[in-house]
Amino acid sequence: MRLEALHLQEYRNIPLARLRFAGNRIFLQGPNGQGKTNLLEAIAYATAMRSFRTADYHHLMRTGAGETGLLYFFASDRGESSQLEIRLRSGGRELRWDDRRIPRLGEIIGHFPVVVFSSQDLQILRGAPSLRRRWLDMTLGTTSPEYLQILRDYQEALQARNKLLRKPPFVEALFAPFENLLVEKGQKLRKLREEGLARLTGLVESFYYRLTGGHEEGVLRYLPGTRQTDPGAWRERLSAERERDHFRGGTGSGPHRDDWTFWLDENDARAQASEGQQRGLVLALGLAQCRLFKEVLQEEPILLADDILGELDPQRRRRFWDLLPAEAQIFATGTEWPDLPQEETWQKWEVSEGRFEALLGKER
Amino acid sequence: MSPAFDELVQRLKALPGLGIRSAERIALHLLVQKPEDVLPLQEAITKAAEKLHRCPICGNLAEGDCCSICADSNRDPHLLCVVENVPDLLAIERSSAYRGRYHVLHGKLSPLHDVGPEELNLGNFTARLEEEKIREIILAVSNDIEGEATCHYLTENLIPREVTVSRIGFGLPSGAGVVFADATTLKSALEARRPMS
Repeated sequence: MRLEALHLQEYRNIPLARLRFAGNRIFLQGPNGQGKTNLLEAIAYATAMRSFRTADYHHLMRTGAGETGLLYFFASDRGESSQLEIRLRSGGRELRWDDRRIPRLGEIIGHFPVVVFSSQDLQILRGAPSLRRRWLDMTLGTTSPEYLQILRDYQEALQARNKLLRKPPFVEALFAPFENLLVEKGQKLRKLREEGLARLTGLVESFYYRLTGGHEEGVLRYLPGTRQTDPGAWRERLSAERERDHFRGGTGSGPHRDDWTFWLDENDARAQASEGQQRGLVLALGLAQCRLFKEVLQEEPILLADDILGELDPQRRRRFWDLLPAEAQIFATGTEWPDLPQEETWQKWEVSEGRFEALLGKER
Repeated sequence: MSPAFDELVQRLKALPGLGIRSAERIALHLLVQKPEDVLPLQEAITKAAEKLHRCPICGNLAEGDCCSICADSNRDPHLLCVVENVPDLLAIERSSAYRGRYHVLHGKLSPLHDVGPEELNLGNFTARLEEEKIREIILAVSNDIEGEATCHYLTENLIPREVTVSRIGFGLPSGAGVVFADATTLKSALEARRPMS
């Protein structure tokens, strides 16, 4: 997948930009707060109409703007071009693909894959379980519409049970249909997450090994949010916990409480790995996500590297570049011009106050 | 514009499926373009409201003691199709593919919207199954979590074991190619595949 051009209108701090990108290596340079990350955010937004910075799309609209427009010109690996148009208004969002209106977001998921590397990624390792669940749902959802459907079904059944919990006395006949569904969908969700993490951990292990020069073993471990595996026992457990869940204010166990952790040589990386090791693990996770997208979707995702190069020592930086798929289109940002591999292949842009200017080779 | 006009628009807007623009269009159409339609429409609404009521047997719209379907002796009296709403019944009727009777629930179980079994048209359901000696039930409710939970509820609590129960299949719309179906629909269609006979 390649982004050939991007038009932005009234987006974040950018009143209007019509950008045409040449080639597969694009570097955006400029001081902080000028719009570099805003541009990457716009590119990543095409994957699932979800920002990697905010859950509220109104933040993407320029202050005072009535409507924000994003127009993407993509070319697939097989050379097919497609045009994606997103319009954001305070009343709602509209999506058009090759000028056809797309009412269901699910139709585009998996078609415009993007992988983001950002300094914020450390939070996936260090932060709350909800961040890791969100990452996993996004990753597996992008590669499988079935996963998204089961996740939605599970969440609906969960909301229904939580609502029933608010009003005792608890009538068996009312709870049973939703608890049965909760267990049925929960089991499927758990199986898909188990399989997904097993596939990812193999990739993480291999990328971490190559990124660090091969001394330690980095893996992912799944921590299910319930110990129940047998559907009958799981249902019984749910029915026995209604009272407790009522006081707790919601269903206490299940895949909505799932977590997964990074391990380094049999140690929990959150507590025992150094900052450098942690950074290495999340980089390996991003590379694994990228490979997974490529394997499943048969399309090389676009890679965004938001100001991460400065955080790596020169040796790891070189290994990181070596590990990126050569065919992938890469957008990287930084406050300064870095030493880039095969520098002549990069298209360079200067970013200042929401304006983007492509530089010719010598102007640097 | 004027208080009378505004009130009319507000009344129309409160109807399902109408936004402010459609409401204004209908109001202007009736008042300016076709004022002669106002009285017949008014009469039709009043007449329908007076004459029509919920069929005490199945929940469909009825003019007499019961609805035309419950009164129709050519229908299979032992076959019952459970639907959520009257439009679902009308859709199945249009297909001419079904010759039994109906039971309209007027909703589905939805704790989020505070719809429990008491809110559904189930008061006479078990009595009906017994009196009419229903042998087979087709559950034609929506293919989502609430629809599924409703089916669970009916099967587990209200329908005797000896009655044959099935759920309508979910799959490809007819005339549509496999390539145009979304992934979820295709999955349902594959799961609901049947042997060639």
